[in-house]
Amino acid sequence: MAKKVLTLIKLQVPGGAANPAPPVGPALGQHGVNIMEFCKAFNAQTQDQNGRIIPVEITVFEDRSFTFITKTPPAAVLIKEAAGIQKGSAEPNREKVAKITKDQVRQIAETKLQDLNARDIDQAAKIIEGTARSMGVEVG
Amino acid sequence: MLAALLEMAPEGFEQVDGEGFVEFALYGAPGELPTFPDGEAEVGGVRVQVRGEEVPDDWEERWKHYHVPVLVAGKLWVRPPWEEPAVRPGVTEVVIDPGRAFGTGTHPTTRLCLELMLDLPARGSFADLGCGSGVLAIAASKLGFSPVRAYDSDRLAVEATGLNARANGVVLDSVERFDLRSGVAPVADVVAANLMRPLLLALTEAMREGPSVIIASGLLDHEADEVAAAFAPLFERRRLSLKGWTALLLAKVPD
Repeated sequence: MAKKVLTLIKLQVPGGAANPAPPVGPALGQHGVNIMEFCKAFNAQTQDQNGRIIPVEITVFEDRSFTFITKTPPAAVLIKEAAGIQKGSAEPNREKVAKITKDQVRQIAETKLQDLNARDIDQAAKIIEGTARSMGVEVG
Repeated sequence: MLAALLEMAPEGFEQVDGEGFVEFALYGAPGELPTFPDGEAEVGGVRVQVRGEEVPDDWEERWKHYHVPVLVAGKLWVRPPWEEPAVRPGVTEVVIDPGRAFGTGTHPTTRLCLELMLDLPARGSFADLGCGSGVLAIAASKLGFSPVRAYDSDRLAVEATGLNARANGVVLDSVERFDLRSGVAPVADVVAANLMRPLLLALTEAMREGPSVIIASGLLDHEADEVAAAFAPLFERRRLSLKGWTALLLAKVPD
């Protein structure tokens, strides 16, 4: 018989570097999940991400065992990496902080395609362009 | 908005999907979190509702209610201090309070290490690299290995190992901080390394003098072949797998 699901926890945490400090510790600990066990498994699966933020969805069962799936890094993280900036613009409409090429947008769209609600790569690229603009990053 | 949240909380955050809304939870001790006015605020150009909530104080402890002892290969009973002692004759008991260090003894990577250790004659020196809570070093000492040394790069792990050794009435020959990415790996007849693939590969570089036996654990199943090959000329004597994790017993001489 399938185990009964207690809850679903969604986190965005650094790949390969999860530790029991916040947010992982309190987010999982309050549901009775063994925090260190999750950290070990997550870090093993995401060891090649070198601290890049990774979304992870953790399904917790009633016996407090768990499974998890990782997703691609948020578009904002990939855009910042591509643009070589630490942060986006506080006023994206007026202050542009960087520029990325159409090719870079397409690369990010390919990376994100599996997790985006897009029917094809062109639509995914449009979503990425929108995120870039909202961060004050020009595309061209 | 996600970009703005990540700037406020570089260690990450939780996302809770509600009906028609999304909550983002930033966790931190009092004074560690960004200050927002009560009610509404603007984050990354988006107006958001802000509320604060206290996380129950016992979040670090709740998992203990679901943590059960394990019997490894019918010979080793690993239990947390709040569980009853073993009453089986001929069973060695190890009591582990994991605290905030890796290693409850129940994780597949640790269980596989213990099982491989039980396969070996318990004599000669033993080194536990990445000792975590000290479960492997304490078990080695109880089984008869001597001297036994434990190493970890994490201060909390070194502290936890020392406390757990005392609680088990075991005297380890040393418990030290050590990072194998920046030094020569300690030498022993038997080395247990319950680490991860990158650190195990680093260990192959950090070993000037190979041990007679190395137990390499913390590997996902698909990583085992690569790591076994990297330890050549050691021979792979045994390979165990449990719940997607693999541990290897490698030795100077084939079985």
